[in-house]
Amino acid sequence: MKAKFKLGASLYCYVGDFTVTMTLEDCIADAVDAGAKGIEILSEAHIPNYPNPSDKWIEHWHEVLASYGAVPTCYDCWVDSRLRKGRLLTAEESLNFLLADMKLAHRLGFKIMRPKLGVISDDLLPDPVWREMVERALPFAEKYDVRIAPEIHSPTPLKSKTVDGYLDLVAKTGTKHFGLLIDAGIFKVREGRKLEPGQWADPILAIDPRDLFPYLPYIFHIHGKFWEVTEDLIETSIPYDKVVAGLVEGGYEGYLSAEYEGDRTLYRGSEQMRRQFAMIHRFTAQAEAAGK
Amino acid sequence: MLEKDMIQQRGFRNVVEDGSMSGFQLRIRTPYYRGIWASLLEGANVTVDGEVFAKEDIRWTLAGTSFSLQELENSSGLRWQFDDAATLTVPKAGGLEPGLHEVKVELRFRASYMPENMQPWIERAQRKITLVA
Repeated sequence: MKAKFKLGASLYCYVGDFTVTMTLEDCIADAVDAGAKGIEILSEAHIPNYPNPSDKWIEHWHEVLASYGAVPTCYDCWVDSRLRKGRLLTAEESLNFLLADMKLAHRLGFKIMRPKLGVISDDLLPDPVWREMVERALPFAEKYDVRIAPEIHSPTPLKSKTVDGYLDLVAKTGTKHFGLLIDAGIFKVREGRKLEPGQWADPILAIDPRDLFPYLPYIFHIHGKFWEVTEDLIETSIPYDKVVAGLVEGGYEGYLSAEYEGDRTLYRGSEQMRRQFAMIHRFTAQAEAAGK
Repeated sequence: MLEKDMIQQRGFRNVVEDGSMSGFQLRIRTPYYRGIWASLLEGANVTVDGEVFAKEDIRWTLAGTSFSLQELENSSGLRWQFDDAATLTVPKAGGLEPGLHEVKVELRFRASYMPENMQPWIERAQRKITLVA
């Protein structure tokens, strides 16, 4: 069976170089050259004068994408629940931020947005205002045709109150405009890197990629998270052979958006991106051959 | 373009007010992977050659306008953009001597998607930079 997923990249891959050695256009050109068709951005890093880019810049954004034959995939934004010291944002305030981002995402051609929600506990339960915020946002999501997908990211597993809550909203509303973004870091099976003292690393969840199968109808986008791909094209913490095989077997049709989060030494992102794409190509060919 | 470090060399200078050196200025880029709403900032302590300057005394210039820490906290719609270095104006009578200085910055801000017990988020940087005048 052939892979149905498409290849993209988040410009988060270039965060070490962006504004230092690379402009936005350099990042897009580099990602496309590495193999990405889909481009994902961070609203609060890549949009000049966020949240009010000029009309001229928005025109330029569309021109640049078109010139590289690239398409916008996912717009990563935030709902800063702790915006005001001493209190959390209300559902109404959160909604206003979400809608401002949704409209901007729509103007930039994105069909998926990923709001990163505020959390209220050590195990990262989202602030419960998320539910009213999303329910009230759904008519706008339909109007602008922008789907909302919070991210399932280590340490949150698939089987969790967080995910149950999200899917409960989908079931209750029947909406097609709310779903999940999966970060492939949930498939991490070992800490493959040598960490500096005190350096943060995602907890190991070791989720089997085939566990995604029942969730596939709700998965709008996947982050191909990686920290270190060796010269032999192996990601040292995540078994991408199994991840890619799972996506091929499951028939996932969305974007696998490369998301480098390793060492931010200058120029390293660019090199690591290419190893990631080469690795994905190799494992895709392997999975397709095995599935025949 | 910005320099890679949080602490920028460009913009490090003494400040003259009413004919005398009242302090010095330092530019910092956000060490975070995104720009940030100014009301999330909880200040930056600056240390130069071991002398500590408290965050409450430091003014911030964002998007061309100068603010006290209190004003940042109370702001709405004000941002420290990813591609814009903030200028910190630090009061110090007489300013700094021309030459190399060991500069440290300790920045605090709130991150909404991390647990309460990890707040405020603290980013530290250290760099030896040259003050010309």
